[in-house]
Amino acid sequence: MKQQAFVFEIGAEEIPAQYIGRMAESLQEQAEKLLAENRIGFSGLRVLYTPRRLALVADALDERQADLTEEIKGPAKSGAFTDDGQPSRALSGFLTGKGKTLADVYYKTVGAAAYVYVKHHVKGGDTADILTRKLEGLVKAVYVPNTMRWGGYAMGFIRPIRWFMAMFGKRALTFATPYAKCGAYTRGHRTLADKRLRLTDAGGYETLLKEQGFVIADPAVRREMIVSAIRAYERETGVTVKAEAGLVDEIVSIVEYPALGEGRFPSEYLAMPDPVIITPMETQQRYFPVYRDGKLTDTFLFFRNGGFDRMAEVAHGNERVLNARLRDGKFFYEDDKKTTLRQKAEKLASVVFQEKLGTLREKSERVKTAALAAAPLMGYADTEKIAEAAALLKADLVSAVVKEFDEVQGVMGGIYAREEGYPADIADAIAEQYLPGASGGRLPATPLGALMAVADKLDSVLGLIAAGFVPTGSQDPYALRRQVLGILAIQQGFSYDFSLTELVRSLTEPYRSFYQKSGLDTERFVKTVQAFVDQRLKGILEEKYPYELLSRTAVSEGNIVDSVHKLEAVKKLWEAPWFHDEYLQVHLRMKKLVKDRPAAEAFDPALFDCEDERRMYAAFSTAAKEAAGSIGSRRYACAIEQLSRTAPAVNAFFDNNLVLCENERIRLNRIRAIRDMLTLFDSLTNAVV
Amino acid sequence: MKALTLQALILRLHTFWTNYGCAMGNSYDIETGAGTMNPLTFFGSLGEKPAAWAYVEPSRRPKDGRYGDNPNRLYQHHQFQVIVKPSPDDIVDVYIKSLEYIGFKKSEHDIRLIEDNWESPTLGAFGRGWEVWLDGMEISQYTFFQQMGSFECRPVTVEMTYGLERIAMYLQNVEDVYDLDWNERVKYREVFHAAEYQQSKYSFEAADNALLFRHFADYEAEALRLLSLGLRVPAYDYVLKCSHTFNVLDAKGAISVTERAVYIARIRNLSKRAAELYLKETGQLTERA
Repeated sequence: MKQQAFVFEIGAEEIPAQYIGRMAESLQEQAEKLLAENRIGFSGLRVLYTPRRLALVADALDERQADLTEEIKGPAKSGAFTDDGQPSRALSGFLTGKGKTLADVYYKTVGAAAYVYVKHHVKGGDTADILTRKLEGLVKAVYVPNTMRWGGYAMGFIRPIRWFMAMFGKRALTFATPYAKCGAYTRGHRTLADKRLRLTDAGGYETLLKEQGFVIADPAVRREMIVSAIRAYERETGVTVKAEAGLVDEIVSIVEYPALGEGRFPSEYLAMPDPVIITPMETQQRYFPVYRDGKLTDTFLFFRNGGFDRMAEVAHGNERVLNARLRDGKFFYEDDKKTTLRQKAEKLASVVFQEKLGTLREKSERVKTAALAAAPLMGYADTEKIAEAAALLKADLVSAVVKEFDEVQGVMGGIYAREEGYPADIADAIAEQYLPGASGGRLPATPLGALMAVADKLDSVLGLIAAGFVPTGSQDPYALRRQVLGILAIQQGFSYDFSLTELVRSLTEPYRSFYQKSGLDTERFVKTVQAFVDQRLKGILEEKYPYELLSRTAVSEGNIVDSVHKLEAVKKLWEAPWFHDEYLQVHLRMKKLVKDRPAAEAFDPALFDCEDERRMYAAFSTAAKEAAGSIGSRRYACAIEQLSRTAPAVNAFFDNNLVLCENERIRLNRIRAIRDMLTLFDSLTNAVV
Repeated sequence: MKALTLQALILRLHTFWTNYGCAMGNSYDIETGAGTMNPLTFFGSLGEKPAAWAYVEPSRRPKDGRYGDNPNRLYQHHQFQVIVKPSPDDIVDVYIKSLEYIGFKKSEHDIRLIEDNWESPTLGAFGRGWEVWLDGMEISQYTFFQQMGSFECRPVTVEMTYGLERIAMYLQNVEDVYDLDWNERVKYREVFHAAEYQQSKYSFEAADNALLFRHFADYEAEALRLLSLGLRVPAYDYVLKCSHTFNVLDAKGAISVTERAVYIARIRNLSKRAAELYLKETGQLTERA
């Protein structure tokens, strides 16, 4: 099959950075689907994008659609002919309809009956023709997260579509929609090459845009340009540039041609805490802060959308803006310094945390309760510190700086605490309370910080679930999933080996009035929280361990640290033949036997009535004692190994005796004895029946 | 070229957009928070009839008042407002040309359109669009209205709002708004500094809450009465009065968070009914169940 390169470009007004990546993925998926459905072979299919274009590019597409031979089912053979052997009305109608003759007919049996069939051969069409007809449909199939309309058109897209360009080899594919035409023309950079550019060969798309359009179509290339420009700047000037990946990604998506610029701000602002300076820089202006020897400098880097012409003027414009923002920041910071943290904390009584859950003062109280409950489990003993941290924890939420830049909540509180001379652990705990900020994000570094971070999240989760905000589907306005994941991440990071769900059970009191208002009793409330926590926990484990391994491990409810210990033990033993052939085998045998046979009472060794049984019990007594020690010190692989030593004795008893014997007393006694062994096995692994 | 004075900037924008085909409108004579609230835009963006307007709108934002102390923030700034309906295909290109017309050669600056989705809960309106950044500074809001007065916009009106003080400060290279040249002889300070101080003092300190709450209730009642008489034009005037009164009370801190949502909903209800009347009056509202 002959092949040609292909490119299809959707030209639009500036597409929001936050959506363009997802739209590119969707275009890729939809294009693959379209080509597959239309039997067009392809290779090297990818999507390139800039703020003004989404381009589907293929190194090679088949020139023609693959031929298709279809089998078409007709009437049942039994009704296909009249008694005198002539084609029935049903058959002749079928053949006429399909343009076939009697000679084409063959039979196939489907189920109990035979049916008439004919073969229909469809010759593959011209790829260019097919695409010309289907490309607008492809555009409409792209997932648009936040659609809009423009002009008087019925079309919806992320931003107005201005043009299409499609080229298959050297042939332009042309079609028109009410809102845009498709042909051989693309457009260059909005300010540097604002003109139509004619593409003559699909393979030359990126080169044309780069050389005549001031557009780097490939986001990976733009990213590389940005990163290497930053690295080169660092090398030449001996500084370090803080370039967060998220910010780099955003810049990749808001420029068609990245050009590095450098600006400065008055160094007097450096007297302010770093977050007051770098937050407006990064989040509002998309600038990169520059450090020398670990200290913030009065220099910042920015990326302009193309061109080095009059860079000094552009830099001056950016400096003016940052200057104004820093002046505001300084005003806020100095305003904040007029009151102490304690005075700020007093204002929390009049700030609503959440309508149903009261003020931030009330939240702080609940956080203290939660922290005191969690403290013993997290090995923290200083209750006075907990009370002090809780009292000041939320104070910065009424500060001017945090009101302006909410992303520095906590961080500013920590800075103010330090400036006011509070002990370092109190200041750190305030600063660390919102960590980890995102999945995989930095964890609190101090024990009190970890405790307060857990307590604050736990209060939000308990309070908001009690108030009826259980997340469903995509609805999670308070990011409760992230909060639970944060708690679990801290537990893992610090190896805090306790069950979160048990902690929840002991902490219902402060939330009672809320969940009762929502129509829940304590049991249902706890169940709801537990289910919510367990889903997150399962999610984390499923990411790390294969299903088979997970299904064989007795995960500890609500306790991620212990669950991971067990999973690691099973993982370690997974390749050992004895683990499956002896240990799991025996576990399963016992499980099958005891299953559905409740036997609450203790067993009586005096009732053992055969040597095999006594031997099994002896082996088990020894193993149980050893295993209990191992379990106590979380050496689960060891425990499993110790329990597996009972295998020969258990198997001998099961093989040589009718375990579930006629005599009811003896039978029940055996079940009870085995049940006690099983409990130990069950605490480590799952016997999948 | 000598930097444009503020009034010359306004003149050039008027020249550009009237040449483009916009009718030259006037600021409204009732307090508004933005050019969008001017009836030319509010009613103009409803229904199918084509519209194209350009006008300056003094935009009062009591909360942004800084007693004349802040070089960038103002109780009242001035917007140059342009609307075109239906939004033309090449309208972004035209807008960029307007920037060249007021002195920003496009190849010498960094012009970017950064996502910004606008909404006005009191007008029952929202749109999709951008902030326009010139060398890192936001100089315009650019919005394709999707809904106005709680009614879907079909066809879509595009709104372009130039922040006049900011643009003039950039053109004149001054760091303080009060240093702007209004014309060759008059400075911005002479025109507005006292007003900024006094309006801030009023909004944050001197406003009479009880009186304003009373006024709000009266304005709302009057708007409702006029709406029931089918007089959407004077009724909308009272909607604007409600809106400004609310803004002053809000700046004064007289309205709690929960009450806030209630007041906004009350104003939205009024604007919706004014929009509905306009659409009925012009025969564009098909009765739907």
